Amino acid sequence: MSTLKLTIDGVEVEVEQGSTVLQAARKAGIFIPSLCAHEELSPYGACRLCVVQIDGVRGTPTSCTTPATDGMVVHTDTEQLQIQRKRTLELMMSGHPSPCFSCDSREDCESVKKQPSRAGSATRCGTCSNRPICELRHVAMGNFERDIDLPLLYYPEKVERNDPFIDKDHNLCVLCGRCVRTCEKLHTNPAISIANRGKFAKVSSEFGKAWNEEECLFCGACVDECPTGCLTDRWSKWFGAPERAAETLCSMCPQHCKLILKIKDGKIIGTRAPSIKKEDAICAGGRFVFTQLVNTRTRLLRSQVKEGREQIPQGGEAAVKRVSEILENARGKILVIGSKSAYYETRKAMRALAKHFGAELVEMDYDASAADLPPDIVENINSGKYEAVLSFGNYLDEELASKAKGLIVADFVKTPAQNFAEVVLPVLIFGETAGSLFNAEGRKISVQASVKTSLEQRPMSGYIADILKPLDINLGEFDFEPEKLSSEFRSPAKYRDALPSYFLGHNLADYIPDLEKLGKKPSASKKSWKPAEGEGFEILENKTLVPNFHALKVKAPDIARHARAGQFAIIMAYRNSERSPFTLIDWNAEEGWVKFIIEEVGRSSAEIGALKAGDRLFVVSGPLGTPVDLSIFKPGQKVLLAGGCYGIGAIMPVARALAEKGVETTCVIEASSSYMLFFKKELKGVCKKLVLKTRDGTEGEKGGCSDYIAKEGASYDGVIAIGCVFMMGQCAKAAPADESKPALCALNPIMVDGTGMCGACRVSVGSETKFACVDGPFFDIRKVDFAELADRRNAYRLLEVEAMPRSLGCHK
Amino acid sequence: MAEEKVRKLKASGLPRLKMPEQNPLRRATNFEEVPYGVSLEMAMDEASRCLQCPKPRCMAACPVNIRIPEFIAEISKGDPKAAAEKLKMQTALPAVCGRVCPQESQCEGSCVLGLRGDPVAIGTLERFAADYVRLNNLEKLPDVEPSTGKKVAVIGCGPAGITAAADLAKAGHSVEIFEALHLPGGVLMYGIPQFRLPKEIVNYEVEQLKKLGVKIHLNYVIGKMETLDDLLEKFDAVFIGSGAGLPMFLNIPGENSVGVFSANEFLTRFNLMKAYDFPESGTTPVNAKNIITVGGGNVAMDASRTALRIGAKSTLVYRRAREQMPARAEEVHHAEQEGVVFNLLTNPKRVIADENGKVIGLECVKMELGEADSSGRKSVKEIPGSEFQIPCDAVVIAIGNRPNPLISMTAHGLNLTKKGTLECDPETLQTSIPSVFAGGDAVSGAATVISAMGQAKIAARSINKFLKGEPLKSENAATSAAGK
Repeated sequence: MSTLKLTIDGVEVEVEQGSTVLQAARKAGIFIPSLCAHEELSPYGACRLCVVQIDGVRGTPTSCTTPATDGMVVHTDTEQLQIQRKRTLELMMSGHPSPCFSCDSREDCESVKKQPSRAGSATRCGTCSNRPICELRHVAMGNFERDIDLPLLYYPEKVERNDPFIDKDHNLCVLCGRCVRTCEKLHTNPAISIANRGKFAKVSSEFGKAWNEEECLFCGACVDECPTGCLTDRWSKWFGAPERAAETLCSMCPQHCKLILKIKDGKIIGTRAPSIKKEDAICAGGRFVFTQLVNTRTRLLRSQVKEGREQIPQGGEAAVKRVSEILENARGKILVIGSKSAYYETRKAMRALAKHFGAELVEMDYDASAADLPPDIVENINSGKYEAVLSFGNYLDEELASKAKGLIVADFVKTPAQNFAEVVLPVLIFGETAGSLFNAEGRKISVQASVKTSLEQRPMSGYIADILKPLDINLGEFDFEPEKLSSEFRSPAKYRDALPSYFLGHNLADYIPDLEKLGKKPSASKKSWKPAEGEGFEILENKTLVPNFHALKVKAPDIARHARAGQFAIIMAYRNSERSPFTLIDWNAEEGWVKFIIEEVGRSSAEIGALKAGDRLFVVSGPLGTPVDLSIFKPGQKVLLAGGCYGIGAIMPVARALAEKGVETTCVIEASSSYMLFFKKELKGVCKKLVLKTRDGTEGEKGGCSDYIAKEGASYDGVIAIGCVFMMGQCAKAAPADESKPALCALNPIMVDGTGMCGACRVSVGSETKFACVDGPFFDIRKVDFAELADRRNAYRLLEVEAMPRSLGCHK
Repeated sequence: MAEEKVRKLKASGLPRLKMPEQNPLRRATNFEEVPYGVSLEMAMDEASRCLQCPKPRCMAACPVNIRIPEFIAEISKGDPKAAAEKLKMQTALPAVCGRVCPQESQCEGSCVLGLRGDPVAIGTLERFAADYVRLNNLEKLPDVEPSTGKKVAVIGCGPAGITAAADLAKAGHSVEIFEALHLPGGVLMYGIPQFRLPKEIVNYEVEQLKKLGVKIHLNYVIGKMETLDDLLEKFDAVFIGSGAGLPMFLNIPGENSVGVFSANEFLTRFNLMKAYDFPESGTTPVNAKNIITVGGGNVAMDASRTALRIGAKSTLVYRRAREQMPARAEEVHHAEQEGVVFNLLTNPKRVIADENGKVIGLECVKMELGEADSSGRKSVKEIPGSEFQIPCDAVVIAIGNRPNPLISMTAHGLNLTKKGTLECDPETLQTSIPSVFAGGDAVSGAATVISAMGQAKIAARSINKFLKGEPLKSENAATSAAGK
């Protein structure tokens, strides 16, 4: 192919004929910001960030759509281009929830909140799962000043969670079209396109139906190509950026697709296709099921050997020894059940094992379950023909397992049938162990182990090798011709109904609840955790104030009768929920209700937030905590109340109580942006003056409550600040130093019981340790160790990520 | 009868019954109960070993004065149902007591057989009889006296509250229990682990209590909702059995680091909140691989053994020697058997944390035993310069609890001792408010389930008299004399 030469920013570049200017610049190592451009996709020119100036060409063409020509002279970084790109980004940002970009405290805030908080919808970078990997953010940070000149056009649409595996937060979409183009490229019948025009344009399936009602194969490529947090993998999105990648082959079906594993902290947190070329396309199994299956909490970790009635964990060596004994004694009366999905080395070793011990070998199909075990084999097990049964996978149901003599099970998850086994061996599965498989063309491909695993888990072939080792068997004799991919084979990467239902005999829908939405039935119905009839506390109203914030009105006459300003209650949505504290913001003893602000920041709050009027909460326990000490303020005095996030609600009862006492209050409330401010009317009703602050300056003054405290705080007789740890920490620094004037905050650390029993909520205040639940929640803001509080609040972060998707997955 | 004689004869040569247990290697990986229980046959053999002393020392050593020889006699006759009925006369929770009582220092510790050999396995027999009627649905509700029209409030649904409520309900009073947590059982639910006391047993006993007509208000925090003063307006008497639920810490540097837990928090996460079932349960487990438990009592044993069961390496740090450990002998034995590493005569000095405030180690100092103090317990002192560090990723502090002040803080006229426990007449367990009685850890500070139950029985008796207008003391002295 012929080449041509052009000059970009004074650098001469030689590229192949047909290259675009953007490709040429990249080859020369010159950075041109871009979002919609993608190596594998046809030029689109939608985001208009990659504009350049070309000598002799009018205007500013997009470099991704402009073919490079010989002798072309290109400029990528002129003042005009900078202004134009900035305007383009601003336009993009005006529709994208972007207050974090323009916030003056962004760096400080993100140093305290090292990971975004796990909110229901992303209202800013700080609540967006993709903050660590967002391309838009990456591009904008290098090209953007903090001031925004255009009004925000954020329209809070609910995150769509009706589809399996994928969350869709359309507010974040910048209409770069990458998802749509990816879908078009990979699939003959693309499932999605951009519907509507202008402000209402959005990525959607036909008629806005759920994607699973359409052609969508849930290959996840759109998720992987989305440059923002609009399309996300519900299960893994909160894990953040992977640390490394590794290559492996999927063995859920004979296609054996190549997968790229995303690995973090020694854990597989996701997979993706190696590219968005048609031949690399994968299915929902490889993209979503794989990771969730590897990470299932019921993985077998220890080998067990039966002694008397008990299975006892004794370590792998003892287990193998016992297996050898059983096989030796049962020689000639042995059944070995394997799977075609096993690595070639395992299957070979199984053949050797079968030959040596005179065993009958049955190899189950990829998608087979216990029900597919040949009837004559079942009959033979039932009649006690075999003295030993060795099952590599879950191929014996409980009843059959109870009849099998000398049962040995090698598996990756715990099952009830294993209770009948003489020996249970924990095995590694795809991605975790080395071996080889055959690709669709029949070529043998070796894969490496990519993560470190628990001590006792081993590959299937490892166990067999140990059994065979003392027997001096030449494995080379057992090479065999693997099955060819049949011409009738329908790849799940092309046909959704071909998606496997079983792996090693396990019903995948038992482990991946989302598969139900793709028509896969779990073996047993799930336990209901809802409060029983007549139990619990009725929700009278659940109103979404602004995205992620709910005003929850609950019938709780006993609490309403005793509640006082500043107190909180512990809520459990379901029987299996955590006990989490929420501030009481309003109550009515006569009508017997109390009100809370629920801010969605994790599993528990998301569970509560998703309930509707008429539903019941399992527990509402309160009022707890010491009410704010009103006696420190005298009628006629002036007090400044500062509230951020849930604190906007939490200062309400304090303002009301002070007003009743004749104390004059000023309320200053802050939010990231105007669309996150709430309770303006309600607060105006109880305070003398209301000051609004937004971090992006879209309403009231730009900045936070601490700015107002720093400026005006000293003129008040006292300050009370309630909000997130970062906001209160800022207010602490701004609070008047004069200790004769009260300056308080209300803390909200992790609690378990909320009555002083566990001490989870302890905080350092001055030189003392206090329990926030009984000594607090109010403390002198100047004395609280906010850094320690932030660390303690983050104690369970990574674990909580694993709890997230389940709760969200079950909500509509 | 002949059969019984044969059994008796056989029994004279029998060794003490050893209850079959889960293999230590196995049980250290699960939350199932450690002992498997015994068969009727085994129980009858063991029961036959009892000498049926005319002046039973075991009974006098029992805090609730269970008629031990009588219930054992029923078992040896092969009638566990009758045995359970004898038990229920004195204890509302036989299945619990059989499992968690320190028998070696109570009934079994005073058994005459123990003087020359092994005492009768009274705890095992108690447990057997209670389990037998529960599992075979044979339990008969005890007789309830005709209604007295009097109302009694019981604060706390733990062992003391359940015992007092049962006795008061049987006496014909209308009883309402107020429990702060969302499940009844108190420490039996949040503190003692499943592997030592299955929660199904607690639930069953609570159901039995409800059948006696006792009403239980859950999620009801006295002191924050109704106060004691409010209760006194509505009830004729109040029993406080609120336990000792305020954890003590070491007050050493670094103790607020991420990964330092009170035993209460650590155990509550796994027991009450079932964190071992995470993420099916919403409460996060302690995700540590190397856990140090500080303390030498039953709670420390429970915590260190729970640590093993969540897959961690478990180390115990205790500042005195093994002989001074306040834990039940069996618990210490079980912990060691399962693989808890003991670091005795070792005292923590400082918690070491990384830059994110997360625990990475515990600095300790070696201790040596000194002279015995006035209580007979040997004092300990540091060996200077013997500081060393133990790496870990979590520390559980199990050095005791004080009573929670939520109730006393909001009550008028309720006097406390210097230790923060409720001031009571030791004989009648009447508090400084005449119609308020108390028992259990709220009175004695952190002690055992059975001593709480013993006190609750005494308090219930006092309440009975109080409600009848009888003098509390003179008769009480008479009954306790009769008991001896």
